Amino acid sequence: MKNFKLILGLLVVCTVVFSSCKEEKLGDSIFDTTPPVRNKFDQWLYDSITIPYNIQVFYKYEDIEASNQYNLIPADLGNSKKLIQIVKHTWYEAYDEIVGKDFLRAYVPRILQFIGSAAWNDDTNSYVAGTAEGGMKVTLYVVNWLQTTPAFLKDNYLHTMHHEFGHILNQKIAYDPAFKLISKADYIGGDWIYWNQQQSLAKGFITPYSMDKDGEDFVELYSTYINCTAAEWANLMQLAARTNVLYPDQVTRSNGQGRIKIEQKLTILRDYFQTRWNINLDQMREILNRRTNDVQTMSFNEFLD
Amino acid sequence: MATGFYSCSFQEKDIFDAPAAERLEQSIKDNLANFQSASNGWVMQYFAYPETAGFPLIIKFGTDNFATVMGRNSETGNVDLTKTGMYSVKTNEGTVLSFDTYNPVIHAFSDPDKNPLGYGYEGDFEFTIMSHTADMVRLKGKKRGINIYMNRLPEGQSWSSYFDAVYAFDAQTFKGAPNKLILIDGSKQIQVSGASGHILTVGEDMYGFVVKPNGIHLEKPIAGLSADALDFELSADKSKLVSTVSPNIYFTGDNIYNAFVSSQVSNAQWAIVLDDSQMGSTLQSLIATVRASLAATGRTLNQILFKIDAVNSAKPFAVGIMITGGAIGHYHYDVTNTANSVTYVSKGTCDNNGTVIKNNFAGTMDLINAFEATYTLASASDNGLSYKKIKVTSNSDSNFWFYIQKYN
Repeated sequence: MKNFKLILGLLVVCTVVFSSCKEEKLGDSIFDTTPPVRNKFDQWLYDSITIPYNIQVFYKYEDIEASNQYNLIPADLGNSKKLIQIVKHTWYEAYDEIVGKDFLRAYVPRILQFIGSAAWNDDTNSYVAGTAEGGMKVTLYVVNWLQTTPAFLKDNYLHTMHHEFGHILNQKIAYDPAFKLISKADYIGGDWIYWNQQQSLAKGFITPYSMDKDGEDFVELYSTYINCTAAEWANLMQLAARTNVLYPDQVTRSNGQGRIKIEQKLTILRDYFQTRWNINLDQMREILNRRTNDVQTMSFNEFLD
Repeated sequence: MATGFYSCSFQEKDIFDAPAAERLEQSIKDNLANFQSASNGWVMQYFAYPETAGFPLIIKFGTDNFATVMGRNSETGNVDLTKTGMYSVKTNEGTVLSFDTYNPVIHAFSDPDKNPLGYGYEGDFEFTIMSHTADMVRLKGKKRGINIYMNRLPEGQSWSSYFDAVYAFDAQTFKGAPNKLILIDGSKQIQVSGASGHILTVGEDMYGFVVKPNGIHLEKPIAGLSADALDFELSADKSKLVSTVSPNIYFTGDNIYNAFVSSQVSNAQWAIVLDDSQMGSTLQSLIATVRASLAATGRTLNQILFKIDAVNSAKPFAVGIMITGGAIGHYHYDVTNTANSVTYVSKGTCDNNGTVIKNNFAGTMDLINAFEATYTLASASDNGLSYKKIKVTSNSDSNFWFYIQKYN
């Protein structure tokens, strides 16, 4: 009985408390819920990039997305239209071709941002052509300089895209620790900027930037290999095999071991992509080079409204 | 229980008549409508960086998110350039106008690929909209914080004719004219330099300005004046540039005698207009003698200049005689001026070229000696701020008169 009174008392309290507040009906949203008006280009981006690949493309300058470390300007609209078709052909569809669409949809960064100018480094002797942030966003710079030659595309975009995508993949599945042992004593952090291409090759690194740390070495090797033609690769290996190349300290010289080290790393790289991601590097290289060459004769959609 | 009742009965008085999100949405719509309502566009008084010269840009905002921008400035090679790019009005630290795809006319002032590399002019292309009326919009650059104004361009005025008028006013008033102006604020008089470069130096401070068809617009108000004056217009009598907010604040030209003498100290040169219709009979006769003498050896008289003999270590005032080939003989003078006259007194010296010319060409010394006089000067320029052409008359010989104008 005592318990009954207690329950009854609580019910009264609850009733008073709840009934004291009048039920409010939710009105219309205070935010503008009108669907965005898309021009032809926006609609194509939505249908051909956002839906199939789960990627949002910022071709208009978005201050909060752009780095405040640099002075930057927006991308030219005409060049943005071309570049996204190039990216689709040489990056997204290259992976579609070799491992299917689901692969890229799962791993590709969700935002692709275009910037018109270069991101100039403080010394103004060099610029950043592309960056990737935490596997979420890729920013491509120098869009206003766009050319469709393979050399321009490789130097400014394709190398960066595949380099950054390589990071994402080996953050998902680590590569064999044996890789970092091959040049363990030769990683030098930021001092890589004092080395030129010939010196780094002779030291066993495919690019000077590879000397930063093993993670960069891994993806630099990946991106360089798949972006090279067979002839270009053979030429790099010839340079890597050179002896007597004077290093930046102006004292020590190469001993001809560069090629051997790079090829040891390539063996691990090749095995990693084949066994972990079912990507055959030589097939990937053939696809990429074919698609990069295609760009010169591509008929670009201008998306005129 | 009591808490339960209070929580529902308390009602805060509304300060705003709509939620923040609704007000921001409305702000975007209002600003877009205002931008797009100017069917002949807006004139933007653009400054890339504080304390630098500004540039007018004409912008028409389309309803399709594209803005057409026209400029005529050093970045366009001083010819009309019209380009289209996208724009948007959005919320981001207030309501922001952003030119968000590349337009070479406006982004020329932000492009880090221009000199100095990595920086360029460092100008804004995104602006917080501070206020607007039907005829004027005040923007603030997001990075530089410079107030940038847009004024509605009248219907029917062609964009090219706007720039023609700007260039004409600049040519009449600032380009090639002595730099110095006098800023008047009631009883206060302040010397101002730098007008020809469109950056006024007032004491230690610098104020960039944009040239308008009949006046100027300053980047910021000049400190210490009785009113915040940004815009100045040429007065009806063309003697001064008067503030649009106070008739007591205006720019006027320097005293003409000061302008003539001090400009030479600043390495300006003045050339006599060698046209018989532009000079009196006394000088016509003297020049004719020298010309005949030069012609006998196949030479011509190219210029007669009032200038400083910059090669001479004492840097004396000089009358320079330039003959065929560009050789100049410098004949030295002491020059003094008052508020009403300027006096040339020969020092009796000249440089080596001067000696050669006077020894070989008859009439040279008569000509040089004739310049020893006291003169009255009168502006023959388009307005009172500029002394680009001056009539010079000897006080002792009314037939000894001539015109001079700035030479390079």
